[in-house]
Amino acid sequence: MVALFVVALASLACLEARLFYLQVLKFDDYRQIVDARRHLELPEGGRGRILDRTGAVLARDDRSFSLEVVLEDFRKDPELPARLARLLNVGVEEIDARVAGIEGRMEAVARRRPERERKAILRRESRTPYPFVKNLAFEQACVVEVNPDRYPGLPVRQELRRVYPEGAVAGHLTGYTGLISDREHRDLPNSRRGLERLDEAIGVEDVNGLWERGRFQEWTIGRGGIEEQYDAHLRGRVGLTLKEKRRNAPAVEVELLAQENGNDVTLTIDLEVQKTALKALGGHVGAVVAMDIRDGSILVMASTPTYDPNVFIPPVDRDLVRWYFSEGNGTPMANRAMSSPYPPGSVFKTTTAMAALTDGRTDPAHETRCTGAFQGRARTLRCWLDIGHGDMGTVEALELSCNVYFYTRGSELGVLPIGRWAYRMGYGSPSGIDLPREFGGKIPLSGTGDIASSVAIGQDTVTITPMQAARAAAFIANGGRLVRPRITTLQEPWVDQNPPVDAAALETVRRGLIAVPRTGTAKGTALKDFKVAGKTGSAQVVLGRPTHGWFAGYWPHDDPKHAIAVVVEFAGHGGAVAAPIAEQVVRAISERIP
Amino acid sequence: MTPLRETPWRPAAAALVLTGVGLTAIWFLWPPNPAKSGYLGSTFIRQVIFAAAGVAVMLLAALPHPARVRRLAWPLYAGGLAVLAVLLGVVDPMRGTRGWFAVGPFTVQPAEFVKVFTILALAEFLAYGRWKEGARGFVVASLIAGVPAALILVQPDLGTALLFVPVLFAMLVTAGASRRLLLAGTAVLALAAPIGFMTALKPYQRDRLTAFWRPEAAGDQTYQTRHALSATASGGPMGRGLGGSVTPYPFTIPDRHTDFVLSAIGESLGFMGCTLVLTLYGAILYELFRIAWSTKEPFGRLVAVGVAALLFAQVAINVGMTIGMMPTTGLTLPFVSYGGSSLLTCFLAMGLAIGVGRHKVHTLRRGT
Repeated sequence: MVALFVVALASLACLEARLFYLQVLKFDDYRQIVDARRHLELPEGGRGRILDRTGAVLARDDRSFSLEVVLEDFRKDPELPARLARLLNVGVEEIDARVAGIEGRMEAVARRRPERERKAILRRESRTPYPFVKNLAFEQACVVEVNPDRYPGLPVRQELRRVYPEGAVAGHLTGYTGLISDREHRDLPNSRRGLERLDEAIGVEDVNGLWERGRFQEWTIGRGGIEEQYDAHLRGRVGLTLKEKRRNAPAVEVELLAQENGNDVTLTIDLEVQKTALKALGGHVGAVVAMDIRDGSILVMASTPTYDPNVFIPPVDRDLVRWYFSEGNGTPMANRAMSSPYPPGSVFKTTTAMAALTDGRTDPAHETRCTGAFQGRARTLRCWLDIGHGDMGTVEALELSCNVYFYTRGSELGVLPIGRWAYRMGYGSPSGIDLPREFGGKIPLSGTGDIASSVAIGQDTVTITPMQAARAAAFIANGGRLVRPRITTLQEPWVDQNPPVDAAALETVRRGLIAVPRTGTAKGTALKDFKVAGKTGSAQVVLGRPTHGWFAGYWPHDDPKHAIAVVVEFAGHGGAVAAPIAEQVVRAISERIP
Repeated sequence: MTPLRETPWRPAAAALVLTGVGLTAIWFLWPPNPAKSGYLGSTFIRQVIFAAAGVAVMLLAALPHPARVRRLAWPLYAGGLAVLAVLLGVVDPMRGTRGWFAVGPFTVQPAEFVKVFTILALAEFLAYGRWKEGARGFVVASLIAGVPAALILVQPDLGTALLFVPVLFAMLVTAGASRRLLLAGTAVLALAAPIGFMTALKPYQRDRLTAFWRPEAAGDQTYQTRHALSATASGGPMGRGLGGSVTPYPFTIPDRHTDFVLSAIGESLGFMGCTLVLTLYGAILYELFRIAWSTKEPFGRLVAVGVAALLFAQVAINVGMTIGMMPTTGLTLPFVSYGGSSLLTCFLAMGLAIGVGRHKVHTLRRGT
């Protein structure tokens, strides 16, 4: 019996010894074998759509084709790079550069292992398909697919391609998608943007292994506009499929993680009105913003010149992109409605009026005489009307945009009270709209000499954005409640619930604004038919060139619902150029949105 | 009543740890997904149920005195043989092999239980009577083991049938059979093996065996084994971790939760995990042999040795085939592999041995 036990133990010891040999001494060889059989695929879920308020599609994913490359087969034919370059209409050096990039990644993978294994790893990697060329035309994909002899080692994959059906109409709003940049890619192991699901499924270490192989190098990322702001929301969740090769049998596939489509984003924009606004701006450089003052929903955000986001989807037309980004072409990439600084000019007089009326020293009925010039401390400042406006109260001064009246108020008040009021009305800081790269504007809070008078008419160093002008108009219309603009239904509406400001002051300013389209600086337009109340502006930017024309207002003035701001660069007086554009947009909104 | 502290609990504890290891492996191979297959369809939950039932069976089997178990030996043996015989004739082949029948949502493999019943019958036969140490006794004992083995062999289940050989051998040695007889028996078996190989085995069974001797000529016959081997070895000293890696998923190795469960453990827990498993088996063997030593009563001693031999043979063959030291035969890893019949049988055998340990007989009066 003892002998039996000894025999049994000896057998177990034999098994243990064999396990030691396999798992401790030889495990690396076997691990190589096992890993070579297995291949992880990362199918990407479709990106969510971007819709306007009526459901019109501004961005969606379409089917497209892409090529992968298996270098071992690709290298067999020395003519292949040239042939492929001809097919794809690119230079052969572009193909060579891509191959070199993949070789570099394979080297990087191999370098992590001891010297003696590198050859085997390089061989394994050269049999692994690497992403190669994206978004082939259907015909090109067909040529590759049906001629495997002429295009060996180039498996065709079906993929998704971003499409912007409206093109340039909403380019600034949608933004575009692009390949992840080298810096973002380098930073991926730290930022783990979009990797959260994978980390959870297979662990950080394995995900980093995939990263080293460049498996995320072809990831798309939102650039600008909604695509950037809501990238995490829109982006399809990547799946994970493990493929194991078998001899004489189809490969086994196991889905470890199902890919999921991203979520749609619905904008508060009305596409038709947006088109009207762009048409109204015509060849001008400028911007139009209109919002619903009750919840801050942006109805129009147009900026000219605009750009077509489709241009950025690979295969990219490099010349056009360079043109978009180069100086001297009117900077089409800038969203002027919220990202460009503009001197407000007379539009700012609304703010000065609020500051003066709530200061206690100004009686709206008290009249100041305009003789066409104001004697400042250091120099004489002129009104835009050389002969002078005569005796002006607050309402008349707003209606006729009298500079002298506001020079006087400015010199009485000083810079600080005006600046404080500007901040209260939303100038000087970002509004919090859910779009990236908003410009906050600049409001001076101190200054000596005649600076206060200059600031009072919106000159000197004051800069604002058109969206802020619309927001300030909404402030007047809302009884002194500031509203946070939003461009998607994903952002909760926010309206400042602070007690409204001095009702009498507000009423005075409103009376002035109501008079502007009727009998004031914008009387040549049909704005009064839509009960628009607003303020024109003509901001001097460069001496000798026409002014920037402004119009900012709200309507209908008896029950305010919407606010609008228009700026047109170097085009002349606000009443002459901006107000007619505002009129067209107001008409479109009144027809389409109750 | 025997005091509880005299109950040898250590082998039971080792068995439970092994069951836990098996459950862990199954969890990561086939995570329970009630939405997809229902609770009873989930491999993991089924195994939990089997384990619970197994523990109950073990406790029940450990309760009665071996003298009472003795009386059941022949009826159980006869019943088991009858079921096997009936299965051969009546039940339609399922999955290409006979030997299964369904009870509700579960399938039962009577061959598993017959292994234990045969140990009981052999122990009962060999325990008393000096003539049984002679040639006639040797032949009868061989028949007692040979009949069920033959019935199982034609099912066909070569692995399980072969288990009867080491069990019979160990029990004969313990019963005091002479060396000459044992040698003769071994010689007969050695002669019979090639004949049996050519006549009794199905072609695929032959292929599996030849594949082991001449792997280069085998083609896909060694496929399963090679994959199991490389998967086990790829675990390395510490393994690739549970679930945190893409590797523990069941792929090209069929039966990775049943017969090849050690390859899953080896891959995810490495040499460390495999050593733990083997150490636990070593401990179980030691405890079972200690029970056999400590009792003077032959039936109990034979049962303990038989159970030890059965478990050992199964472990050695299963581990051996996973790491390429044995030909592929469908055998489970005791307590670890998925499978209700296998698990219940192992716990039943363990319970019987513990029962022997609880009721040790320290002196035996002469005269029987």
